[in-house]
Amino acid sequence: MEANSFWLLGQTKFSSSENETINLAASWAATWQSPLTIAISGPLGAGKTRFVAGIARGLGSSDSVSSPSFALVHTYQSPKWPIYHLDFYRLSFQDEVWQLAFEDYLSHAIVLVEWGEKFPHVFPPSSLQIQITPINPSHRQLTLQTLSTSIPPPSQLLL
Amino acid sequence: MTYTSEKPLILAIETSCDETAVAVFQGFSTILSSCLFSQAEIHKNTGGVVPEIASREHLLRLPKLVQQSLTQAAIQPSQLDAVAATIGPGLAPALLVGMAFAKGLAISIRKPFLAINHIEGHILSPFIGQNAIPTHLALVVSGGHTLLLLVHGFHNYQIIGKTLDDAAGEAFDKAAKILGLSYPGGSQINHLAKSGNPNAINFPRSMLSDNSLNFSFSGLKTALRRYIEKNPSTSPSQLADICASFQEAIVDVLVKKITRAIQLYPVNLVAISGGVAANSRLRERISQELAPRNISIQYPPPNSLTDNAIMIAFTAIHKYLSRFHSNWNEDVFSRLQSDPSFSENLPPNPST
Repeated sequence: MEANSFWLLGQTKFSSSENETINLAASWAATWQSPLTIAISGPLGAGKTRFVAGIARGLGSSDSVSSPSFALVHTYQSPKWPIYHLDFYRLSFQDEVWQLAFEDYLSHAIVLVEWGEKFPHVFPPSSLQIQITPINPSHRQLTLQTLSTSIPPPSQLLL
Repeated sequence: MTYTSEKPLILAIETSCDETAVAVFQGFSTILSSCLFSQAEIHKNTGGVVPEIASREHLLRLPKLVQQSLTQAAIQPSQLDAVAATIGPGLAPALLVGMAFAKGLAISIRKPFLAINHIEGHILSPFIGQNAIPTHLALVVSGGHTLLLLVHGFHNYQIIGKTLDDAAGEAFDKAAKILGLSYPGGSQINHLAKSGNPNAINFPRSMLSDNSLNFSFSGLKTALRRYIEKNPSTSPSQLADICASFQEAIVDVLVKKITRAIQLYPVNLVAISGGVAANSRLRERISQELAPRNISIQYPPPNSLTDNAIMIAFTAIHKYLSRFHSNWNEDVFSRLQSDPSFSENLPPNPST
């Protein structure tokens, strides 16, 4: 395993092309020892779906990855764990996340959520976030961080 | 369970994503009722683009829609010869509601349950009313899917191309959101594009330089976003130009991939289904391309373009009359690849 496959919390990596983004995600995912839950964030066209395609490839999946914006959830097989690829883009209320059976996926599978930062409170503690920032048409800055879930307002805690 | 009727009466339920729909069909050509809980109207009213996705919503609407559908068809449940439901691909919790309801209804009237593939419904929708499905090239192009298939008759489908990222309909909807247009985005862009210049802006045409029949629309979306960032204030005529140019890029790719597919797999019929098949520019360009080659083009009727239960009922009629049997333990699935009637045979793609 190459040392640069690993990704430290808070570390920013740079990609100069779509293929490089895919390779970066693939080599990182190949190092995973247990299933992760990751919010994948960035503006429309940042390359979130391509990043997920890279992770799937790194985990040894031969399934083709496409945008789940419409279907909301895509599932892929991999030798290690099932992969759930979600997209919160079309959701407007946190409640809708539960209707996707979100909690059923969390314990045993890789869960990758585009636009996940829209509803950070549905994520388990220690969930990760990849923030993809376009620098120019082809270059991307990718930062790994913990998904920030500030304490929800008391009204939500009571419910 | 016996398949005795020659003109079966079938009720079909579709809940694969946002729409809740029920239809009653008799034989190959008689639509007795079609009820749809349309999200588009709600979205227009609220100005939002976010659908009610919930399986709970399907559950609330479905009993009423089934009742309404039976009333409109003027039949009793006991008169049905079978009950059908979409079991995939789609959102599992949503599919479960329709499938469970259909199985329950079928058990209660002691008639067969028929499990239907949503994509098969789209593929057959241009042939509603016909008892034979000819060999042809099919383009299924909607908000959730962009697929090129060779159809070798009923229940025999070969995927030869598909999107690697966004579906074409999704590209239209996301572009509409970037442009601040109302929902549904595809028809808005199509409408505004009519007064615009399709060559005003040269948006990228992805995947045209490779030899594959696959699609990619994500880069186009990015290009539009960048264009809008650079040119934030647009006059109505500029907006029309943007819409026309964006639409042209999508249509260009769809038309060129169809043309390439015909070169690889000669057919004399092309059928285009799904919501994007309503796009007038796509129809115009396809006709220009295929008419000189004596290739016919077939579209679904207007009521069967976007997700609906008519196409599910029609597929169920074909299944019933072909003596297809669905087991009671049939389960929902989210990926098309799980259905053995769909084989995948993509031409080599040098880029991957």
